[in-house]
Amino acid sequence: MTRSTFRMCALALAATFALASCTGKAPRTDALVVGIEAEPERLDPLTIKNPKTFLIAWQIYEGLLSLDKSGEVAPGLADQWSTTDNLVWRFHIRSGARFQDSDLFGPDHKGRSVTAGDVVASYTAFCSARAYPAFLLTDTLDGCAAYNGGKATSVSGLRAVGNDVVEMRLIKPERFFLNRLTTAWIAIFPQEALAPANRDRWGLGLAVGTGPFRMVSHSASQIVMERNPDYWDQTKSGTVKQLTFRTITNDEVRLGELRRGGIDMMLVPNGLLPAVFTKQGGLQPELATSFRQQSFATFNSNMIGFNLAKLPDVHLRRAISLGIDRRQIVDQLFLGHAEVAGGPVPPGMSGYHSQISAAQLYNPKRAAAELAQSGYHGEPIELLIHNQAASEQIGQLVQAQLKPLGIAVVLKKVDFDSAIGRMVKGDDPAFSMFLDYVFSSPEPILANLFDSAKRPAPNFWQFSNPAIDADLHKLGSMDRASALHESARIEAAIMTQAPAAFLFRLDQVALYSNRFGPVSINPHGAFDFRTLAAAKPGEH
Amino acid sequence: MPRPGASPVRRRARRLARYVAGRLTYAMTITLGVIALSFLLFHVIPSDPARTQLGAAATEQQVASLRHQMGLDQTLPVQLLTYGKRIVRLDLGRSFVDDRPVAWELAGKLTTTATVAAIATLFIMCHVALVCWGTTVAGARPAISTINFALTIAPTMAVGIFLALLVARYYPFASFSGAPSSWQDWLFLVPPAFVLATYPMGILGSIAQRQIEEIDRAAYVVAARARGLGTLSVLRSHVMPNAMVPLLSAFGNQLPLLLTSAFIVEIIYSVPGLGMLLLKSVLARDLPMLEGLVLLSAVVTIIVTFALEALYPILDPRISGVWHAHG
Repeated sequence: MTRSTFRMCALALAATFALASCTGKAPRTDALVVGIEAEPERLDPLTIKNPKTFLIAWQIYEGLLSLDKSGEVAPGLADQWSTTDNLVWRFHIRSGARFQDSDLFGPDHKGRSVTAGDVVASYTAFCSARAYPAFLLTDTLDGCAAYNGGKATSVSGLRAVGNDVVEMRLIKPERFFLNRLTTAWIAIFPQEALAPANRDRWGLGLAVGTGPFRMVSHSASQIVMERNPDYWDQTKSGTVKQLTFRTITNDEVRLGELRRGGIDMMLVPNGLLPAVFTKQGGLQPELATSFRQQSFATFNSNMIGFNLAKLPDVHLRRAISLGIDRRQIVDQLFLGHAEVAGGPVPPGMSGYHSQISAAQLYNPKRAAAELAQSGYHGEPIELLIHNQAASEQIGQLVQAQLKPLGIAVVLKKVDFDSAIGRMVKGDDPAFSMFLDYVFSSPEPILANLFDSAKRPAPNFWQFSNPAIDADLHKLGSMDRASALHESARIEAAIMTQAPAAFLFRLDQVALYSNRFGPVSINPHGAFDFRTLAAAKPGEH
Repeated sequence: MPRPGASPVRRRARRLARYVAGRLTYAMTITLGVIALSFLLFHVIPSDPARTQLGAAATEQQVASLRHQMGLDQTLPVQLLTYGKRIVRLDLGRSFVDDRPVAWELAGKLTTTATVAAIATLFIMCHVALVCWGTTVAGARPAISTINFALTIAPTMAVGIFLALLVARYYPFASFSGAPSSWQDWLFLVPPAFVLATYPMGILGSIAQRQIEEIDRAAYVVAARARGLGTLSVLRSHVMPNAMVPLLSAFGNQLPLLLTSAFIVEIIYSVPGLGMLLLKSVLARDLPMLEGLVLLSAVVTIIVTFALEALYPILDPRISGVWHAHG
């Protein structure tokens, strides 16, 4: 290669880099690129299991009901609902609700109106054995469990009444039934999606719902959507016309891409909190000039759970719970982006007032007294930890905090799914775990976790108390205020037995370009990108 | 013993056919062994794919229903038989996680990983070529040894993350469409391919250097130089042909590593290839996908080995002579 040829090649390469660097950096507010941490799951509502996928799925799909920002039940695809006895519920599908345009509906690709048949088909599919969200319905919707177990060919409690009304009959009256349906885990999709011909495409190259954005392309690296012009709610508008979700698995690289404008938004993982925030809680100076952060509370809970069969000494369990300094965990590991909680119901659930005082959870003196009453003599207690949600770091802190009390904790690490398996089998006396709740009310959370009929899962602690069971069963027929008050009493009663040391509710933090104004997020973690708009002057 | 009257061409063709049939039988046996062993391994590991799919919130009844649907409640021999029947029909089944056809998924991911491996191979070939040339340059050998040593000992993970941070800051081709379908996609794959190539570059560079140094001292090379042949001519005509077979053999050993170590770079650079799929499938206990991945790896390794073995006699007639002698 001659020197001049070499120079020409070098110049051409430099020009290519320069041109490529220039593309996509114009300050646009009609397009939003969100960096995500893992290749998205198949966007089939039946098989989505990672709550983070809903950042994407919720733009395409909607459920019958939703939650507003305050956590109250809000209309979704159903604009009205009614019941006379909390046993039979009727949902009216809003007029004007249409599925997005797609070749699913024939050669003209034109979307069609949502019918009661679509709702019945979707809910029936959610009762099937392979549906991840089946647990939401099998213990409440009549006939769902039989269909799930292969003992019926349809769900007897589901019925289309005309073209736009769906009737659901429950196993027993349940006033809080609506709070099961606010999650998009039970999204409505067109019946055509279930046709065998679409089996290989559905959720991959093809995903059709009624949401504010429609999918344009899908690959393992990115999903591109555009605004759905036929969306039923045209009252609120934003500036985002194109929405892209790009997979960048490495956290530091994702933050690097955000800094240089390759993406506009990301959720901040726990490991990056020190790189994003100062010790005073503000954004790092180099980020503060171009980005804004928004913390939001979702329904989740982190805990050290106990297997009551392996750790039957209530005094020892109480000692452990009282010996854990939750505030230190929250401050040290999450820089304060979490709220200390002593019970399973996460703080901030609408209308709920826990009787458990966060200030009294850590009490080394009482812990020592409880330990003195126990039969514990320093035997090592195995604590199961896993590879998600800072479980290992939480375990290490708990280990260090309990050591001065004389409680020896031995950490045992496995991957997350193995941890779930071991919890269900009851292999370990204690486990560090987190739960993302799909229910938006305390009653089903308590019933699911502590009803003795729910052993071994999701009643992992093998908690059994006939009086509590009876109290939990009564909650479904109470009026809302009484049910919330009674739930708080039941929660406190359960926690006297210390089946788990509940630690905190973790906040989510979104970091995004300050070209955009605030984003609306509901307590299920649903981002409303439809209303996201350019930042107003002074809003930066 | 050659049949009397058969022409030398026909005799050679018969020998070649026997050789190919023998290698194919060997390859088939290995593949069958891999299929059976991987199936047994995955099914003996204490895990419950049905529970993994339905998560912590599902009741035991729901898990039992799914276990039945997946066929996991049948005995191990029955499951192995069902699996074997499917393999015979070239049906790799569907993912436990989300029902994707395993064959489709593997084909898509293989394209991406193979592209990364191909770019990595280019890096390796360039490096080896430079090492071969550099070794003949007076005074360059210590520097080449140092570079090869550094490439060999550099931890792939650390190099990968370090380069990824540089790439995130300065390299403009940071987005990937999901499959290598445009020049931007190819350029996106260059940094991960370089990281993937570092260790093989070091190993093969060292082997190449040693070979060149050894052959360089041989009497026929000294004689060639004495006849007045230039450095490049000696390298091309006398040194490289003799160095190629051990190099190719070493490359054959490294090639499967390009596939199996791909997961490190794929995770760091968000490349949706086989490595990432393997990690995801292990964590999700996606047995059909894992079985498909093992089978694919075995088939690729066998094909590569087979191809390299076929290449040796072309490069070195002495090996061809061995065939003939044993054929």
